[in-house]
Amino acid sequence: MPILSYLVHARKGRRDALCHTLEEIPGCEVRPADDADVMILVTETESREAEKAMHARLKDVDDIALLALVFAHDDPVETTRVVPLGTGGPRAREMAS
Amino acid sequence: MSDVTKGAADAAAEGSLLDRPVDRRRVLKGMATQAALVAAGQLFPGVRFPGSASATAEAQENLPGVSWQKAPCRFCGTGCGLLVGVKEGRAVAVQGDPASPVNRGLACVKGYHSVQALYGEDRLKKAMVRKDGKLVEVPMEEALDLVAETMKKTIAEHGKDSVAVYGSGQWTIPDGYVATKWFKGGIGTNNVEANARLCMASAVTGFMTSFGLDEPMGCYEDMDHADTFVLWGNNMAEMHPVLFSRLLERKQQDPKKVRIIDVATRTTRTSLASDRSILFVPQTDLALLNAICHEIIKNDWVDESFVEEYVSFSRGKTDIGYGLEDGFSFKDDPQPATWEELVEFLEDYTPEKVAELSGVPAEEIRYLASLYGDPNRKVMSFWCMGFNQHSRGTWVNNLIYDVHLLVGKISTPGNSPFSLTGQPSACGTVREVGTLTHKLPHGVVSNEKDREMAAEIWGVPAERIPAEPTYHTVEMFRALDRGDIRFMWVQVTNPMVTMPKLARYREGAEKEGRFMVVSDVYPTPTTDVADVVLPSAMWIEQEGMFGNSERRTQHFDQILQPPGDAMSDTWQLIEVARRTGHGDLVPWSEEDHVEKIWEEYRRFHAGAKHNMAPYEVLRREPGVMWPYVDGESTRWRYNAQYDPACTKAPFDFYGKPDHRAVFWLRPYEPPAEVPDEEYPFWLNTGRVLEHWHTGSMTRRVPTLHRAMPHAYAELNPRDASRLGVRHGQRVRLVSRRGSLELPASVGGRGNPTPGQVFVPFFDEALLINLLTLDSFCPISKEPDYKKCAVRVEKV
Repeated sequence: MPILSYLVHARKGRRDALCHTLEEIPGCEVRPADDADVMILVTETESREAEKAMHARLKDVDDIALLALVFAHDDPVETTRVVPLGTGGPRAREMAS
Repeated sequence: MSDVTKGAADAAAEGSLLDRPVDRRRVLKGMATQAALVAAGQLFPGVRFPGSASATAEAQENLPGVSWQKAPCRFCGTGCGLLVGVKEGRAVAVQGDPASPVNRGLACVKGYHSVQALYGEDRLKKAMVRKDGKLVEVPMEEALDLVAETMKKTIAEHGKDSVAVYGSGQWTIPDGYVATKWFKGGIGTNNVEANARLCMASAVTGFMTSFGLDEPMGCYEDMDHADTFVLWGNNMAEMHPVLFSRLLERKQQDPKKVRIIDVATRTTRTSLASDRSILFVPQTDLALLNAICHEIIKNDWVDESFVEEYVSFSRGKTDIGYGLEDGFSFKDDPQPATWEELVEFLEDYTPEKVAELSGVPAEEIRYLASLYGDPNRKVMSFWCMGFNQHSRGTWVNNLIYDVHLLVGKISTPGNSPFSLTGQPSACGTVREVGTLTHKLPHGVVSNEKDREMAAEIWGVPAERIPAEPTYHTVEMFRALDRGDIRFMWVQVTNPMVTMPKLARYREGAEKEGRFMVVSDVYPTPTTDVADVVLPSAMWIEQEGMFGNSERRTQHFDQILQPPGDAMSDTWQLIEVARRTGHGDLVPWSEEDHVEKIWEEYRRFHAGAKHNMAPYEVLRREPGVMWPYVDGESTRWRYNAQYDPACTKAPFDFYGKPDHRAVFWLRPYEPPAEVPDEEYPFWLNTGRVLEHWHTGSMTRRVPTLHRAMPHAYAELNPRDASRLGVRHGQRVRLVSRRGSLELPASVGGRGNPTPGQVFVPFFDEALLINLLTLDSFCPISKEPDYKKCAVRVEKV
């Protein structure tokens, strides 16, 4: 479940058109600024492959002057404890048991 | 409020963020939006989004019911200001502080996830004592009693120099102050060291030998004025990402003029974002800097009036050794030098000669020199571990100052040689409080007046503070191995991962007759070797101060309660000091001890050269830069326009008796170990973006751990092909000290030059320091983690 946010700069005079284009893409949420050619784009996709496809699609949008990644999260496959204790020495294994 | 941000608010109202799978998606989308809102606010001041007063204000409004308090980030030495969101006693969110002049609302991936490091499920909450070979939980009082009794017994049997305390640049200022006061002024031993010796001691000796006073003359604001940024062995994009974003922002403002040059031994994300990447053979930065000086003189780019008025010339000993043997000692013997001697000295460093040695084409060297020499350019140089963890670390620090002094590009806005630090309070605690064997809060133990000042402020006899330093860090662990030190208290650091030539020092710590006390927040390989483990309060679970790379001291309140019996390192030290009969040195109450300690400590720095802000000012402001004089921070030292300590204009390098900065003639010398037929690769070690140092905290943050789950051996594709190794396949690295198997990284985020392998040190399961060499700079005593010889075998 990759979730990413971007700052998107529109080409001059193309802000509204770009906003419309992005809103039409499934998984995109757009928030244009009131007073600048910049908008916030949050994307949500189902898998890394889908995220790659999304990114490729965004790169093809002509009205984007600059796409700046701000935040990225890719949900883990498993959610149990992630750090094995005591891999650095025998006493820690004993502590973990 | 949008659906996205409402999700974050709803989740916060229900308790904790990120813990509950059902809320996860909404919360993450809220965080994603917040991050973008803050970034927008930083890049476009005043930008407005529908339905909000401003981007940064909305970011806070998105989490109703959450209270926000300021704190400096506890990872890295940048000192970003954070706002920590707390609900019902638990930190539930974090954002960059828009009021902080350091980061202006931004944070890096470690900063954004910093509060999650508080809540790892194996957090240490109870004291433990080793009984019958096993660590068992005991009441805190019992553990503190045992620590005190063992200290007293050890001192009685083996002398006061048989006990030691080893902290870090993650110690808060009160932590370090109490440790120093108690050990040096109470017990009467100089056995105080900190792991900052392993990361920035060469920066200190560089400053001291060149200027007579420690820490940078400039500040981060230089980045707004400079147009040329030269990064020396400094992967800023990963290690100081918020500062690097400021460089990129500067580049965006003036793309035609601004130049970012990466000078390094491997290609990194920094290289890829720079205008030019220059790769050199390890250790030859010494020669490159001399070649730049050669070119500056040859092309008549010297600022003659500046040099004549403000610079003296000096040379020291050469062929100075590597500290490989126990008890190694070195004392430099500075001799005055002349301009003519400098010119003659630099004849060995023509671009052509240095090109042969360094692998950098002569034209590239001339280009670098032209950037420094161009009178229409303002130049910042940045460095960090590449220069400092260097067997000639002091020299290479001297040489970068030489370049800036030669062209007079120093101590003015935008002209700034800038040493970055790795830890949140390496400057504030280790360097300013002086938690090193030779240091005092003001000056050094070998200076009688400095000892008298400390004795007067501490209320102890001056003769109790020994005039001779004892052991620097490597020698301290050697002394533990030999049995000269019998008791060591380690706080807020993980030496059983970070010490070079680790096997020797781990075996030393585990020997019979050694007593190890370890204060930490999670189990680590260092708690593995402990006889007593004390659970520590972490970061905002206590009140404290950090000091960052630009002389900025930042206060933080206790925002959260520590878990279980966890206690601040300061208070642990106070409790044991009272039990060893030194209660008169630590008379403070739990309620006001931080304020009292700060006000006592700042007496050491009174005066225009280093005055620290009063406690109430620190509490109010998002950090204050010293010298703090007449209610103002000093942004550029040694410049009479900004620095009230100057006694002459326009510059006054008042750290030296003649009020001149020192240009040092420092030659190229090879490192202690170089690749040969048997061990044909250089081994370089370092850090990664996702993990703080040894990963003991950041590996408890699921997102960070999963993003970078284990260490790897980074190989050049040409070497990998020759060895028949593909990305992800296991390789065995073998040095004269040990061997280690780990997965290869080929074509990953970094790319070393052919003949070099890079391994990050954060992974306690893959201890690369079993292979590294404990050679060090003879002046700073800082080990060289960047250069030893290994062979690479396909497994």
